[in-house]
Amino acid sequence: MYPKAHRTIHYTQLKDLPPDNALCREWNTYRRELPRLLEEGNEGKVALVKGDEIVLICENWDDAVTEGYRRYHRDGFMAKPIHEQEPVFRVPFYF
Amino acid sequence: MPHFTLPISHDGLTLPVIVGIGDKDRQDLESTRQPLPSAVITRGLLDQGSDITVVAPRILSILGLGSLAAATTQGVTGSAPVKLFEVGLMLHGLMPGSPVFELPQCVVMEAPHPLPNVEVLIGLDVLRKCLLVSDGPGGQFTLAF
Repeated sequence: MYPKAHRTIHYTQLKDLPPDNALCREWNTYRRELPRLLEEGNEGKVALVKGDEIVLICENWDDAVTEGYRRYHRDGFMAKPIHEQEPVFRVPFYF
Repeated sequence: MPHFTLPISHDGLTLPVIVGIGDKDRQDLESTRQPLPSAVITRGLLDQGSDITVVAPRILSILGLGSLAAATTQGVTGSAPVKLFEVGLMLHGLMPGSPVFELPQCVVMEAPHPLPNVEVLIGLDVLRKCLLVSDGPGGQFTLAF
């Protein structure tokens, strides 16, 4: 299950991932496609992203991760809950 | 209700934690007949100041995990993108045979900086699933689940 967060920011405020992040391509794909995904009524669903492609829209996190492992094993994929208001996790003061 | 009681240490509400791969990863490795990485025994800290459980990069690296998602965090230094992984967690007491609180699949965040004297922060995502009683004068705490 995906953790809950009580704060959110609008998706347009999402930051870039560092170029050395293994999910940089998938993150950019998600951000590029997000307006369309929201327009198509996918709020709350989970996108399975591989490289430059949104491969599948799943109903929940577990389905997306299960399908990701089935298709790509440990070869790298991103499961991303689709939200206009992106959850922001509160972390300890020393981070 | 199964539970265990532990002393409150100098670092706070610390406890032994076993971190392994998540259920979905394990099932996939088994189906492709690949070896399963051994779980890692380490030290964790219960931290109600974190929405999400945090794991040190060393452990995620030992387990050979790739990140499954990116998320945004908010700390005192501002917001930052972080990597999310799925692991299996087991929390247990110090006495042999004490009950084990097992979470076969738990979404965790990679620690962006070294953690002080521990390698796992057990966040509210896990603590919401159990009963935590802190006995400050008695110098101990109990986790029931």
